Amino acid sequence: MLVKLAGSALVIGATSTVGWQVANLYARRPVHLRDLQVGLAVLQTEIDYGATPLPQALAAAADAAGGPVGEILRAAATELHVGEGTTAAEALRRATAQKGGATALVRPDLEVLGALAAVLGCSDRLDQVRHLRLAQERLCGEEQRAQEARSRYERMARYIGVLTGTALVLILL
Amino acid sequence: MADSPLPVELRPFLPASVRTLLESAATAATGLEEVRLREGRPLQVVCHGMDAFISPQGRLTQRADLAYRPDQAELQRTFQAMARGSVYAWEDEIRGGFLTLPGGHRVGLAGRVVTEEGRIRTIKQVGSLNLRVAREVTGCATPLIAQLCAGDRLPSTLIISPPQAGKTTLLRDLIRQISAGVESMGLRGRKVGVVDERSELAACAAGIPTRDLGPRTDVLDNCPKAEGMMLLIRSMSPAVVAIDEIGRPADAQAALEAVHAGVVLLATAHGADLAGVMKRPAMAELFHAGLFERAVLISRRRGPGTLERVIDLSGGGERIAG
Repeated sequence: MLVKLAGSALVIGATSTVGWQVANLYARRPVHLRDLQVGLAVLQTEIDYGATPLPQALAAAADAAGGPVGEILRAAATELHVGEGTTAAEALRRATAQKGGATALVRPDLEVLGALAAVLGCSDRLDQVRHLRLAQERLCGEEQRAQEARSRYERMARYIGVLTGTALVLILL
Repeated sequence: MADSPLPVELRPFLPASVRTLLESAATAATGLEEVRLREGRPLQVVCHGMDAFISPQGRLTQRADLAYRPDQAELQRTFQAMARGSVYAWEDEIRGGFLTLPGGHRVGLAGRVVTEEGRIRTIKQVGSLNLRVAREVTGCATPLIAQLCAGDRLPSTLIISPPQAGKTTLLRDLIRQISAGVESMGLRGRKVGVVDERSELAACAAGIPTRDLGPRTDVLDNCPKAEGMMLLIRSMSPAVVAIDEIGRPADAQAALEAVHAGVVLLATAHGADLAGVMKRPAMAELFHAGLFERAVLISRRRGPGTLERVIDLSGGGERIAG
């Protein structure tokens, strides 16, 4: 009996953890999207008003964004700073590939960064500001969708985790 | 001129394919002066004033049809790398048609120009890159100093030559020697102020010269010449002010003020001969005011920096250089 009880607790514990993790992803995505928008807004200011070279501008954006999203921007800044001869596109793409996994951002969010990477640093200030604004608008749209998904699925994911475990235990017993 | 292949600091900026070709051709291409990349057109180098194309096997050739042709991706990547991923941070330079790389090497740009109200706003699609390799030739100004200086007296001097004849290299060594002083000629070291508008003379990194300009030299990096000259005179009290490529009316005006403030001026100008330079409106005023005491003509007859003539403009006639 004791073994059955312990087994049941283990099964419910495991499925609840999975449910909790999925719910956590729903909860963190809008936060990370918000952080990324803050980072890009700072990047825009640095480029527009300061004409700051990209390694320093990206570092300032990384400080403003903070968290795992800031780490993407910081990795891109470091890559540009250390590797002379690296283009902005290569640096940001590599940084996104390396550090994107640690965030709750999903493919459409990372695609916005990918599209920005293709043009970042490639043109004059006016054009850069346009591209950065566009990226922020697209991220804002993704954030709204992420908020809706969060309100719809966050709690549900937690319940499903616990309920799946309970159902499994009932079937197995 | 010191022979050397592709300078180390230039390597990261060039696409791997072009770098490999240049390095394999480097043994033949000693004294590399220029590398010219043109999208879809033959890869060209200039060594010792002679130009050649580079074949896909890395050999120098005179036949354009056998040459390697860099594609659009290679050219754009090179341009992006040279702009250090920040084209917007070099808007003024790009508008002026050039970028300066670490080490003072200069890249000329050509392509599709975007204009706004009749003025250049930027170069959008860069189709040609001309990489000019900067050289530091220590001691190349010694014969010139021997002719310029009578004892400790240093005259205001204009160095004239067509492009690529070694004006900047000569001026750099002249600054270094004047700053350090030349004991054997009785010339004591002087405080020198350099306005390095294009970062070519001193090749500053974060305001610190990476080229040797002597112990008594202060550099205003990336500063417009006209403003920089007066700023230096007010703030650093130089005895000598040096500028590269004087020519705009504002430069000439500032040069006049500088000399009236009691400093010796060293400058360079593009031109085939003295008469040609004197015809340029802004320069004519300077000659009329008797600003320069000596004009130095150089050519590349016996290699870059060949001293042709030193002309005494203070009324003492002309001297022919050995």
